[in-house]
Amino acid sequence: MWTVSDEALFAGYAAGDPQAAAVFVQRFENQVYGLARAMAGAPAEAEEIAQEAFVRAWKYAASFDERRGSVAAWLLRVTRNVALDHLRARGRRAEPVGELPADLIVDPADVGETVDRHDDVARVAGLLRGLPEAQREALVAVTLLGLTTREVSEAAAVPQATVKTRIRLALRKLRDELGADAR
Amino acid sequence: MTRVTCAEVREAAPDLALGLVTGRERAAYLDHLERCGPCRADVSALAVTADDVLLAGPRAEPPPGFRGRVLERLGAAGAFAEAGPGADRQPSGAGFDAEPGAERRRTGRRGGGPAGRPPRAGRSGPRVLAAAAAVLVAVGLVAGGLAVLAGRGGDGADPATAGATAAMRTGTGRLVGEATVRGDDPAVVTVDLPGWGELVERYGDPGGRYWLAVELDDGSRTLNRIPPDESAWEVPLRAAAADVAAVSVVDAGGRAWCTGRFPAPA
Repeated sequence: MWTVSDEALFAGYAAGDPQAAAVFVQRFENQVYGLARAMAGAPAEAEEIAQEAFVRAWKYAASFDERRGSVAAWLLRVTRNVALDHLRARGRRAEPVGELPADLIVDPADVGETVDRHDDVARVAGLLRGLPEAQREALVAVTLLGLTTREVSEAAAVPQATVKTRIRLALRKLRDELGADAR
Repeated sequence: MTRVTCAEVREAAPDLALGLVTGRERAAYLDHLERCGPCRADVSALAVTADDVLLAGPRAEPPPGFRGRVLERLGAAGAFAEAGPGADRQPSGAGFDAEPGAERRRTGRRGGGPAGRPPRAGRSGPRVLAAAAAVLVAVGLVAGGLAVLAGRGGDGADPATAGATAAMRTGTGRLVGEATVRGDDPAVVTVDLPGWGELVERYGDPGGRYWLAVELDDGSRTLNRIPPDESAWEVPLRAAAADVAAVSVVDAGGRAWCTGRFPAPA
């Protein structure tokens, strides 16, 4: 049976096919908006970021290289960059960062209907939850909230060097675990 | 430009992978990566891991009308220039105006996530996004040159007699089976999901209840209980075949496992 891969759909999106565009946006809007919402906070700004991310993804579609990752990952990187641009434009955050997030990771049960991606997301989410809390908080704050290591250090009341160490340890541990799973 | 060593790159590799290094410092590292395969591989592998973290990030349902506004904006940016002024054109069968909010109104569900669950609360208040619930997506078919598997009447045949077939897809577009509607008033819907038993066993509740939801063009829905241990079902309808808009398999929480949409007749 035939199905439309993310890559094939993205090719239609990049080519300006309105039908492919509608399905492409539908397929990724929850992830794009979810990340934008996490980073921006305010719904209005999150929507602006998410819209801009889709437009930027079309504009710079030629820069997508499937050898370097999936369409979804690339689109989320674009979203993250757009969100960071917005944060910089408004002078970072309007309010100080409070407690660091410990639980910003998707609940695998919430992606039950995306059966084909369930396993991967659940595996990564499980590994993230298995990290020491301080490491997980630092990594999630930087990747999913767009905080700088300085902001994380202020929120966690620890030296910036400690934050960097936690992030490095967390990412390397994840990398090792995911690599071990793949073997 | 300052030369950096492999040890320094290894130390900074996670920062590089996460995009935390900027300016001259970044340029120095990139210069090293161009010449050093092992360091390049290390940073590349960590970047893939950073992507995995992004992919495991929160999901949230965008506001009503979001998809239409994105398409308008793409159209204004010239995305559809060659394909025609189609930014606001509805793809046949994709139904991008049937946004999740509309779907919820039809099904009467409440709450932000599938199965009507309330969003998960974030731990740290307004700074941290509460619940990133995945959305019950009314899956549209990929039409046009991409993936038309469905169409009322197929090759111009009379749908009442020849039947119309729609691909059944998950929220991500994965093809899991097909639905056919045939016969005159009343029509009969047949759904065939070859891997259904395995899907339920793996992701669902084998002892749970599942329904075949048949949606008509007027927005009304009927629910028909289906046994989870079979992979094909036939449901008689009190409607004409031409009035059937979509068929979904839903669980007890209202979550759509897969959906097939029949494009409206031209």
